[in-house]
Amino acid sequence: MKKSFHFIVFFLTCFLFPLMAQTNSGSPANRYTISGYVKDAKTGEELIGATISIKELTATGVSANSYGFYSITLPEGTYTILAQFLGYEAKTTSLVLKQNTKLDFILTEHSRDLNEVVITGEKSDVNVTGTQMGVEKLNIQQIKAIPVLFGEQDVIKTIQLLPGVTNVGEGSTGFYVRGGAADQNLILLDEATVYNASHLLGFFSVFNSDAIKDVALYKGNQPAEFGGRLSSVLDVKMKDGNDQQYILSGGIGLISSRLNFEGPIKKGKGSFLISARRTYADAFLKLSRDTTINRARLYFYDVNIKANYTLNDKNKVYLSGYFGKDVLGFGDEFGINWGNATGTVRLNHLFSDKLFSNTSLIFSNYDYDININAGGNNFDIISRIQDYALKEDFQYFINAKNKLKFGFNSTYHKMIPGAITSTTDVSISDRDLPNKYALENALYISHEVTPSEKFSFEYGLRLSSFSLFGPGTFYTYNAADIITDSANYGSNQLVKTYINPEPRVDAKYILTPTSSIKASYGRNAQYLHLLSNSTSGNPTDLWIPTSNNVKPGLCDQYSIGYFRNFKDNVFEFSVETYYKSLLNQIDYVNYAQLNLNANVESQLLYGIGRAYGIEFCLKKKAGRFTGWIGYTLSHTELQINGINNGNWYAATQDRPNDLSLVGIYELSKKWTVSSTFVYYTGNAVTFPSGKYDINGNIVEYYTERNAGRMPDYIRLDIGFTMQGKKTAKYETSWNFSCYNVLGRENAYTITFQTDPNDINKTQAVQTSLFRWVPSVTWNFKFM
Amino acid sequence: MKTDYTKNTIYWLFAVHCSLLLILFSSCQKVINLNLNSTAPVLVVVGTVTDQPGPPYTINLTQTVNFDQDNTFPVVTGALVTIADNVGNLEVLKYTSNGNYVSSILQGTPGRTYTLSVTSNGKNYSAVSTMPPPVTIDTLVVDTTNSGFFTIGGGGSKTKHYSVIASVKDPAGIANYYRFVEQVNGITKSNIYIVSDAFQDGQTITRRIAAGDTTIHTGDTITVSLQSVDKNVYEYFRTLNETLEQASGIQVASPANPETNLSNSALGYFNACAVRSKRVIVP
Repeated sequence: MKKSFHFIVFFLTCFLFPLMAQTNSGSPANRYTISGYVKDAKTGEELIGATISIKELTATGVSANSYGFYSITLPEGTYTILAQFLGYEAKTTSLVLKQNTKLDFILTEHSRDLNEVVITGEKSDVNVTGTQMGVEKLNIQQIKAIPVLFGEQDVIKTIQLLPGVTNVGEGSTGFYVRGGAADQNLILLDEATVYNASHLLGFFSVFNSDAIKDVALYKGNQPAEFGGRLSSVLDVKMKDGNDQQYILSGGIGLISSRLNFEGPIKKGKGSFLISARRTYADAFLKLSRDTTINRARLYFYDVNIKANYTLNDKNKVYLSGYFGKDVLGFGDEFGINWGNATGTVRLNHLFSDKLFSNTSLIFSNYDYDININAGGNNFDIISRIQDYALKEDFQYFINAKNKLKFGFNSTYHKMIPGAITSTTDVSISDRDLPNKYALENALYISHEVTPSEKFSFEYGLRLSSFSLFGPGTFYTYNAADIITDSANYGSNQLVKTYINPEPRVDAKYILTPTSSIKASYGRNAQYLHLLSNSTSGNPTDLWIPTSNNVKPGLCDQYSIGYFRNFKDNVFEFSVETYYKSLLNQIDYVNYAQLNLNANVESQLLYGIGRAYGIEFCLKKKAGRFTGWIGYTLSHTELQINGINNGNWYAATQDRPNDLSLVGIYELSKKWTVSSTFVYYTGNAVTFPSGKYDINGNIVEYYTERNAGRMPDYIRLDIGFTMQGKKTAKYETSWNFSCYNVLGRENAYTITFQTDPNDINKTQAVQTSLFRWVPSVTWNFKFM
Repeated sequence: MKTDYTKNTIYWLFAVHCSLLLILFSSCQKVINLNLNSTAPVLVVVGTVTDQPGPPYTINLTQTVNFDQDNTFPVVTGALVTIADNVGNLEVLKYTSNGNYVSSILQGTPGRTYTLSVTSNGKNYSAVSTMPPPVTIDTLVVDTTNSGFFTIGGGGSKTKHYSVIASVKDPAGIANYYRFVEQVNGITKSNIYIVSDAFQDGQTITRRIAAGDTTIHTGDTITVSLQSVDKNVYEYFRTLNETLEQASGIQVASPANPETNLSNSALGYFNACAVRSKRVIVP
């Protein structure tokens, strides 16, 4: 505690010093602020990350925040102000600055005319000039052009194609970032945590691309306003809805259909959006003559709702909601439903044209419900995790060289690990595992400084805390997972608190106008852990809090990178290398019983981890052909007490080689072709090294955890988009795609069995899921 | 998962889900060549002491082989095998054949703790198991309900799917662990059926055995033996079952060897159990 206190004092001193320096050395001329919003002309959507630069002052610029707001303070004078956003016509305005000025930019989407000369200056050089490294921003248009499984465009499937990011398995929406486990990614939908981002056991993600505006993945140093996960933040922002006109759009595909309706609440003032999807694979199941299959239920649906309204110059409110459900079942005999619900109410308030604030009230819920009514057993199992959060963020645009971000958030977690209710009285006794209650708080401050044209840095501190509360009996386990002590706590009685200071630093140095080097260091703490004993992730995976036994996971990440743009920023190249050191990592005892186990903490083993790698990425951002090549060479290892005799071993997500190629080519105004190619080393898995006989069963003999490798994974996808008729009132397009064109049998699972032709032999059998999956989607839009 | 029902339920759920996906999305399977690590032979012990009148009780010793070798497991001869109880009895077992070492005087008694000790190739192995009091099977019924839940993929066919449902009145107030062994016309099946009373203490516990068996015919004799086993033996069979299940397609993140009660990295189990059987003729 004392140590943390010193740390804070040290940091605050650091903050105050540069600020003071700035004020003292400030120019004597009067300073005024230009502020406003950057928006899309056609839809009124705020353009997140649009850049505002001053022609007269090189290297002076700001970018619009996640609500499209910018603010820049300059000495009195005459300026030419340039607003730019990728894919949009740049706009310049001349201005005599002699008082604080409101200036909104309304940008028009770049015309898709192929013959048009590409104007320089439209393409951002943020790859080179931005202070942040290890951040990937994705354009929803690009996501929509990439071919995917079943033709269902998907944010998560697309980020899996970026260097440093890999999928958990074939078709899965689970992902690993820089060697982090799947639960080390903070997935946010309009600031609400999404605890399980997958539908249909991972073949779809919960993000309906119709409702998504912007996606940012922080795989390196996370900005100080984020925390709670060790590896990455996937920040997904929903569209606000068109505030100029009503639009009905949608798509009809082989597996699912989507419908989206948006429009103004009051033109230019507020808008709404409702977006819904449903799969209908179960309709096909009904056609089967097999009674086993035709009684099956298997579908999901989800709904996104968003509304926003500008109350006045200083206040704007946003309402966002998501609700999704997966249903899987079999006649009356059993069923499992699972899904997320999130809700966010936000208020943007301008205290002044320099001080922007956002207040969010956030709700998030994930639950599953299993019911069984077969084999003489009738019971229900439910499990749930719920968050209620308050988040307050301030952005203080001090001057062109200093920007301060600070705020706090406070989240109340309620976890129901599992409750069994018997619907008949005989078969199973009712049983409730005790609920868990916890409070997660964080206070952060971060300062971005640009002392010179070439050099900029951002440093910050996040101070996080996690407190676990009663009621309940809390056991203490020793290293051998034996209960050594137990204590009873009353309602709201504090069981344990952890506090972690998380310093974050980023720095950038511009070498030449088209190249820079960047370095960063950041610490993250994670207080919630996902327990899963399947390789692909299940809806029944269990979130548990940090407790008296389970320590918060900690990760220190160091990274350094070289960034270079070519041909007027048409090409972006980057190479980034990272090293992560992880503390308090969790693995499981052999045959861990994770579900419905009151003593689940006795099933855990603890240790440390390390991950290191180098990522190369070359992107082409403009022109008829766009796309990227990403290659990652990396290793991820764990050292856990009680596994492999305490030696370092490859983590499941260790994938030494990972290559992705993405290309999108506009053949004509009508046709666009796109293709992706993926190659990676197979996961580290545990294979048997011998076998023996127990009462006529051939049993595999295992000697070492994760010493084997799945075969290499190779896949090529191809897609075509045909733009149909386009009028002022409606437009349509067709999307044709084929997943795994090469038809390669990639291993989904490998199992071992007795050779059916020779009972004296055993064999390894590989199951592959998808070969040549074609799909067709028809998209429409009525205005 | 404390009971097998909840455990099985979740397994079934995913098995079903996977099979649906496989059917829907034209998955394919093929035999592949994997370069698996080899291993030095490890001792495998399978031994049981029961409360049934009279010896012999058998301890079987074999060894592991590499995965790519034939299923011919070398037997271990020349070992010193003893079983002792906690009231001072000790017997040295005699080697007969096929890796079997048999007793001739020892009598298993519920409540006693048995210690197996094996010395082979200069190494010592031991295991301890306590024989619980016997519990009887109340009823044993043959069931031909063609439940889709238990007969994945066979729903449309006319073949009869047999199950035997055993009901056991569980003694209240103590932790009981059960293992069922099924014999059809005198031939012991290798399937593992276990249940504990963790969720159903003092209640009537039912266990479906041979779920959806299509090889049973009218007139067959099915004998089910109920072994009352100790917690370690139960854990052995629970984890053995998981090893076998994961091998048959349900992927777990970290497969491992079953939790044995044997020391010194030997594989297998030593089970002192009280046994009560019931018989039914398939109608």
